[in-house]
Amino acid sequence: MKLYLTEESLFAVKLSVKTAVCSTAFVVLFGIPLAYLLARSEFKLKRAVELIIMLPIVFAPTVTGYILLVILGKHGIVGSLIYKFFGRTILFSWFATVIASFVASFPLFVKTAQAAFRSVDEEYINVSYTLGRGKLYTFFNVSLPLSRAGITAGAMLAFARAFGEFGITLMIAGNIPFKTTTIPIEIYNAVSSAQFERANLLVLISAVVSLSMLFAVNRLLERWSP
Amino acid sequence: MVSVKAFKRLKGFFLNAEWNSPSAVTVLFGPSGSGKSLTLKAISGLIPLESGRISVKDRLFFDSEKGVNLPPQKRKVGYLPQSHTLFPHLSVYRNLTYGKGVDRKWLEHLIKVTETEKLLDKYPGSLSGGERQRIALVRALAIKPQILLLDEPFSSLHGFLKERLFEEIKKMCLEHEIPIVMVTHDVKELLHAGGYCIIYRNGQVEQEGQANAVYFKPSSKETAKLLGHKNFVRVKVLDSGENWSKILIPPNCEITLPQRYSGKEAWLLIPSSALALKRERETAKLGFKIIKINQTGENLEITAELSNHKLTFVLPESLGPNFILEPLKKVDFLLSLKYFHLIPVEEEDGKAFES
Repeated sequence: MKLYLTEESLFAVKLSVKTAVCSTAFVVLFGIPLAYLLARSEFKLKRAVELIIMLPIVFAPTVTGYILLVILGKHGIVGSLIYKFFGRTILFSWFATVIASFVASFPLFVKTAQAAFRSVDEEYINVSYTLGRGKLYTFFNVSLPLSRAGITAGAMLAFARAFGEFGITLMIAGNIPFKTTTIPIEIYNAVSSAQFERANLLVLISAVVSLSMLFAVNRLLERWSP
Repeated sequence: MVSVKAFKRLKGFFLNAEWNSPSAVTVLFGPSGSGKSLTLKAISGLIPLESGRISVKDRLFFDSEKGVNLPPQKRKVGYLPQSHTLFPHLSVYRNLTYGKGVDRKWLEHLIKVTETEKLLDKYPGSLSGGERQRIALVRALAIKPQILLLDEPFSSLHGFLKERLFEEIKKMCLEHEIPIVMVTHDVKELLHAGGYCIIYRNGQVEQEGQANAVYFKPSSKETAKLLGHKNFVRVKVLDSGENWSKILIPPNCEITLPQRYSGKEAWLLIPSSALALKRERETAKLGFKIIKINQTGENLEITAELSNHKLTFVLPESLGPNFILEPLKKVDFLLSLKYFHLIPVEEEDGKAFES
């Protein structure tokens, strides 16, 4: 098997790493509070929120991508605001790859983190309250540390998913050389122009990253499970 | 000392409990799912009540009429749930200093008194059940609580350890005037704790009083069974007055008890410890047929029949009768009348006598 490293491939690797890191950071940042809310409290529209988060898992990536195109486009609800303030659209920029990865991996993280928060026995929280500690202190000193294994596992799954994102990325970031060509898109480009040698290395990198994440997640959950 | 009036509706369950305990130790006793733990959570402020009033000593925790509802953080309660008490990710020392405003000097004193110095660097996972509960206790006391709430705190411990730990807790709490409210469904624990007892059934208070008094004078057959009583004889009430009742124990024994009772029939509770050694004014002689005798180490367990009711008596091995007990033998037993107690007959019990 021949492995070729071209400039395109190098760019794709760098972009994918950047995208996956940024996307995972946002996923964790927004996912933790949301997962905690879903795990610990009852509120109106809770079911609706849960459902909407899960949509990218069941929708065809092109469908999700299309919906995002509509929302983030110049005339969309969110897109028009962005256009108003920044004078440009975020579609078909490198940040669009981050958004695509974010949307695809968010449900994976939220579900895992929610399960992790739910597995923390409520009595720990009760005891913390009776010891005079407020909700925020209890969250950072009890709930979060006690569910860190599940949260880390969720973040790794999200990273792996972000690293392999293709369909939504293609829809909202496009296939612009040296701009939005992540590893999966570059693999597609290589194969569609019959340059299998160029694809091989990228496939290998992608597979290694995904497998090591999966391995780490399994080890983590095994070690921490009661 | 502790006064609770709690009303809360849950899915398929009503908590509607009201009691006043004058004692430093209060025991909530009842079957599981009767609202005991819920009451503890209400006292600690962990669940919101629909209405009611909760006060400890002279501090008001909750009053729906006055709109008072202190959050759990402000109530200063030492809360020890059944399990999951110590934070597993923190060392013992960090568990002990977790509470807000823990006074180091006071904590050092507590550690010294409970002899837990050598455990400070360990993690909860490496402690024994007893050590864990002791640390949880120190942690609860470290915030100088107004009240200590124990939810079956000893269910994971063995008898001897259980009693010792409870004695320790009681001593410390009495010393610092911290009332204890404890939940249990173990009769032994109830009687050992002493104090004031509240019997719970279906979210309501069935009976309250000093533990020993409640034990010997339960107000219903259900409660009596819950307290571990097994000996019930259906009797006819012949006559009754201000503070006495004349009953007929079938087939033909008439006795007068110092208890007021209205009704024609009753269940007579004869505690298994009611055997008397010699004839006195307050004893009754009843004819039994022996069914079996069990030797359970220190005690002799005698099962005997009295007019179709199987009764079990327990007496220390050393006080066993000097005549030979053997199955089917007819024997007269002397029973101490002061332990006899009449319990109302409920409708589902049906009628035993023709009137």
